[in-house]
Amino acid sequence: MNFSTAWLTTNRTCNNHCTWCYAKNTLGNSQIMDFENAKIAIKELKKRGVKRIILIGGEPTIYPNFIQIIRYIRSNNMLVSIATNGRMFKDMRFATEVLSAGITTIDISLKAFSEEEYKKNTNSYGLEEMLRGYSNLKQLGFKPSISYVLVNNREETIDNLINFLLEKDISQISLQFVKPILNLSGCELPMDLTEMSSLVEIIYNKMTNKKINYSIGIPFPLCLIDSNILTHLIRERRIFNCCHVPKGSGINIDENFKIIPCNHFAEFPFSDTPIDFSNEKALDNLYNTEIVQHFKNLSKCYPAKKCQTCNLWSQCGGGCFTYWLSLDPNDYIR
Amino acid sequence: MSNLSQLLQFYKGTLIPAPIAIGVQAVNKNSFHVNHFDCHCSSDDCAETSYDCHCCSDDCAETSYDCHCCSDDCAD
Repeated sequence: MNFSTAWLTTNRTCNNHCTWCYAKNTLGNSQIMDFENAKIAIKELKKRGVKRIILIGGEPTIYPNFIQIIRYIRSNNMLVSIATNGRMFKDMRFATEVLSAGITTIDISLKAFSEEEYKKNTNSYGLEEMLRGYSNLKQLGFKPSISYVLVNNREETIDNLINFLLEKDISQISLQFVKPILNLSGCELPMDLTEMSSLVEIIYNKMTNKKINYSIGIPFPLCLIDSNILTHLIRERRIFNCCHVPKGSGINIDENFKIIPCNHFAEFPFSDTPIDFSNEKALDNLYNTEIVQHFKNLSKCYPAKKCQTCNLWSQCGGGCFTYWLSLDPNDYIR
Repeated sequence: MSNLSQLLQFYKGTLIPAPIAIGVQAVNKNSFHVNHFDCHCSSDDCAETSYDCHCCSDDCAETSYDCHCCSDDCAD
């Protein structure tokens, strides 16, 4: 098995507790990734063609070996990105050290537009720290990307977001929808797919009007979006979709070195046994198991029969597979 | 039965195999998320750039937005 990108969950611990976190059930887990074993895993990933490693959590910047792991990845000629709340970068020395270690991309997740709202959303006061972190990185000549998770379909949220971006002189934003939370009864959906699609239309109208540079990750089938607006969104290159799962080009490793199908499946590893990366056959053995093959096969199926004849299929891919663990695609796909 | 097997029993989609979709690519070059589906990272050229790997090919400029499908690797 070869991969192009690997996600490493260095730790599940976090200095925020976002109400919408897809991994919130694992945040009490204080286990962190053993650094010596992480180095062995990184070597193996390199051999398997990985070009970029994305460090995720929890909050990866609070991983005790954070700087060392960045240096190690870079010394193996791979790119390294992080998804972070950005609060740790409030410390200029920390920001300087991270950049010196060679980090490639930093994506800072904006959680709220005021401290009170930040506290409500994350159980911490972190907005000022995040903004200071963003400013520090920019002062050091690095341009982090900013992303925002859409958790409701209120127009007011988009208005507030636009005002915040303009006020803080943030020139572009990447929008993501709240992720489903998987559990043994299926899937908990914080937002309905039709709510999401109507929000896309609101975003398009408002952000175009205010000339905001934005992109939106679309996790649902594209046929749910008004066709005129979809045409504009594609032409203006505002949306991105699909994922690595059907392609099999990514690998997600949790803090215990178990392989999970994707980030959404934090509590559902392919196997309860950690991978011993010093055994070069261990990954191949895992990927040959029935459960992995079953998962891969399901992720490569049309959600609904209608998709078979849809001319949008190659651009759409049917939306995030996880929705169909809770919803019947026939109720949504047009 | 593993937890994952239990979870997959809830799958409500078809069992009809589909071709792998290429997806739509935003142009927000500073966005880490743009590459979340990472189909275009299999080229050595791509590794030279930070994340906007699809702009390094002349072929890519010819396509509208899904420039990563001009690579043989990506077609997989």
